[in-house]
Amino acid sequence: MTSEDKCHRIGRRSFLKYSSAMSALAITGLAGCTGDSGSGEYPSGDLEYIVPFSEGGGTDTYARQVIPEMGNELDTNIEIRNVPGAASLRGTGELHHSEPDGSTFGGFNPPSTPVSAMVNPPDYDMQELVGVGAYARTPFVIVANSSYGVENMADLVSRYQSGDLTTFSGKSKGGVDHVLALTMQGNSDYDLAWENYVGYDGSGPAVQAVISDETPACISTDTAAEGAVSDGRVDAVTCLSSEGTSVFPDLQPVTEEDFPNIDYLGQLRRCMFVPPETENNVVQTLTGALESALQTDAIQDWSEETGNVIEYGEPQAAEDAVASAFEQVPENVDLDQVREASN
Amino acid sequence: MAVVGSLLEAGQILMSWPTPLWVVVGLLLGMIAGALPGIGSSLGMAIVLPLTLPLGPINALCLLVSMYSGAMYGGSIAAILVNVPGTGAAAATTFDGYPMSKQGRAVEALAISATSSTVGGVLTILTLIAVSPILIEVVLLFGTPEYFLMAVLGLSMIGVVASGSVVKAIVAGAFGMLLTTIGIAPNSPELRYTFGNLSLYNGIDFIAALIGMFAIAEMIKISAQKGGIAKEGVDLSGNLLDGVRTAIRHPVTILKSSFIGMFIGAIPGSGATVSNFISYGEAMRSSDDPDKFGDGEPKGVIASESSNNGTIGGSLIPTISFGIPGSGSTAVLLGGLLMHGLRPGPQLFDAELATTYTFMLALLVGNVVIFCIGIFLVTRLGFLTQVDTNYIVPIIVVLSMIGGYTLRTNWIDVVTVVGLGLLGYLMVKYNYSVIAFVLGVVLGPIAEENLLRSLELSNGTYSIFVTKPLSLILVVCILIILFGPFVKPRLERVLS
Repeated sequence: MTSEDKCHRIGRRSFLKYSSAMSALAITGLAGCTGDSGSGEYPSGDLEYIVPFSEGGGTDTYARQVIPEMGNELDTNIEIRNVPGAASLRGTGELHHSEPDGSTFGGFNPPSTPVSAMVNPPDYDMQELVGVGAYARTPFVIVANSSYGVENMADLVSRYQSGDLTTFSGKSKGGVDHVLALTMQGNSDYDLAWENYVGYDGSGPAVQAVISDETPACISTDTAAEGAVSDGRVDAVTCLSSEGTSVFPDLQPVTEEDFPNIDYLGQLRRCMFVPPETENNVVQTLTGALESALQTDAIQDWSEETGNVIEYGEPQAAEDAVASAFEQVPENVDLDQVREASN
Repeated sequence: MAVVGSLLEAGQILMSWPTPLWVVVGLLLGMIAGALPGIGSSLGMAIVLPLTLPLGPINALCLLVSMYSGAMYGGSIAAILVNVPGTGAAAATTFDGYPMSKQGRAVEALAISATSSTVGGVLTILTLIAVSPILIEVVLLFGTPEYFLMAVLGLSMIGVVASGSVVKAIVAGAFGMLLTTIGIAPNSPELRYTFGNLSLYNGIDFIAALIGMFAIAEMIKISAQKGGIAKEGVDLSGNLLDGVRTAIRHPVTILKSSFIGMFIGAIPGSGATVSNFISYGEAMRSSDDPDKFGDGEPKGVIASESSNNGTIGGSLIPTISFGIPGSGSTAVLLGGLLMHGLRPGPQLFDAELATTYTFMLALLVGNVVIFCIGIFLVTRLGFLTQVDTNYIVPIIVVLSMIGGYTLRTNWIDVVTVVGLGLLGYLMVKYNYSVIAFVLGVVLGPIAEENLLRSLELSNGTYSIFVTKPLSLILVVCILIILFGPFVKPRLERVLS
């Protein structure tokens, strides 16, 4: 045996020795990642929370406040992972395909994500996700450039019917704003007769288009419109949620003007879910942690200071929000029309 | 007088302990986040955001804006030393910064970058403090048609910045634009080339494209090279004062690039990546010797670096005026404002004016700190260009892969980094302009989205692009850039 062969043999031995050690370490690490040590206690390791949107958005902002408090309640570390893309379908899909052992949970906001799924159906059934609870509500409002002096929803409807106004706007076509706009256009009790819907890349840009009078009015979340309304360049016309908005407490909900209730579309219900077939005790543990976290001083103070509304809802409320979107949107909106109008 | 009083109050707040500490901490964290590909300012700020809750509004906002500013500068460090643009905003810095490193002028390039970033940042923040109420009116003049024309203006720079065959440059730019058509169409839910794969719904991430095109392509290229990135035998003891002097000797380039940055930064959706390309293109267009660009021309670094720090001032305008963030970083900053009970809108220029001025002054002071750190600490990293490529290449390749995955936790981005790395290598080898390709990737989606939206607004009428004075001016600028090189000599001949 040459010295070179010997070196090779030693190298192989060393390799086997180190690779065995590495495998043992990796398996140990993976065991920690699953969050289920088999002892029956939950949680037994670190957890992961999927945010299907980018950093800095509304869902991410809530998560970065609420999730650490949930971690404190559960006495474990919860990693927040942003999985943006595909109008939140990618992150939601990743949640759906995760192991149902409680190590992964996530949040999205019906009806927004269900509408995306109805327009471009993914390869999983979102309604199979198990609700952990709801934690907040973000109403949609309509704002108009203040130069038009629009007083309320009835006034806005009459402006569109008379042809004074023709263009209406909101977030991109195929999304929840567009579906809302089509619903109000097609529903004879609303008869919001806009002729041209222009989609923007988010509520912020849509509001800016209204400020500069590129479009006269748009749908926006209440928080995104707050700065422009307080500046006086745009007027808040109506709140599309029957429950009103804490951002504009004096703003009349659309239902108070005797327009039909469209809450299934008029507000985002911020909810948390776990993968299908997750055991009930895991769901109950997470639900308890969520409910307790929302009551902590840290979250209550943050909510009070920032105006970000906190509203706890039972697990069933989260599942109902998804189910109601899947039931009511196809009943009230021609989804083929949404797709065709978009092209 | 109220303004002066608020400014004095802001100065006092900023100088009271521990606020200066948070400014420095923010800058250092930002520089690290900016220098690491795939992290960047927005992710770094988002991670830090919830931790700022115990700090109180002033210290928290000073920390966040300092991170934003630090990351803008930090992106240039890796861009200059190893051709890795830590952020999109530093992509154009690689064009001349990295060739300077290869020539053994890394220290000079880093000093130029620190000086240009500082001067650009200071100038634009001072302007922001002085005329912010007027600037918002200027920002509002920009609508969808003007965004489209700005993107076309940037694309028309392909003819200026691409060296060699114009046809090859146009092919490269068009291919870049073509790649951006993957994913959900910008103005409709129509899916294009996604093959039912959710990972492709949002298409190619342009930062991943930049990492591949610059970092991986260069690592393939130098993997066969012996020694370090800097050519063997070159003297690395470059005087950093030379870098400072070089930057200061080009006041017009700094001024022009800073304000291009500020202007473009104020337009939501464009930001620092677009501004540093346009500033670079303009510096090259107006140069007496444009052929030097791309081979280590200091003016290229000056233009890119002064413009990307200039965007910070601009991007704050819509964010604090209306709560409309124009980029991921300003979205997180807006989250910070709201989290600490500060509502964007007129009150930030009225009752909360001292707070607003405090974080503007923090940016101002932060730029001076950037200069000190940049000159006295970062320039010492020049030795990295002498480290053997056997160590540098695997480190950069691994960092690039991790960076690609970190962008959106999407394996498609890792595939993009590798695929476009190979493509970039071949493009350089066969003289296809990488700059043209990158301009196509960055500006293609902005152009497409705003073209379609403009036509929606005008019911399909193209006259929307020439009806307003501003859009008309932009059209004239585009025509000058496209046809100027042909018309100018003929005009001069006729006139003489």
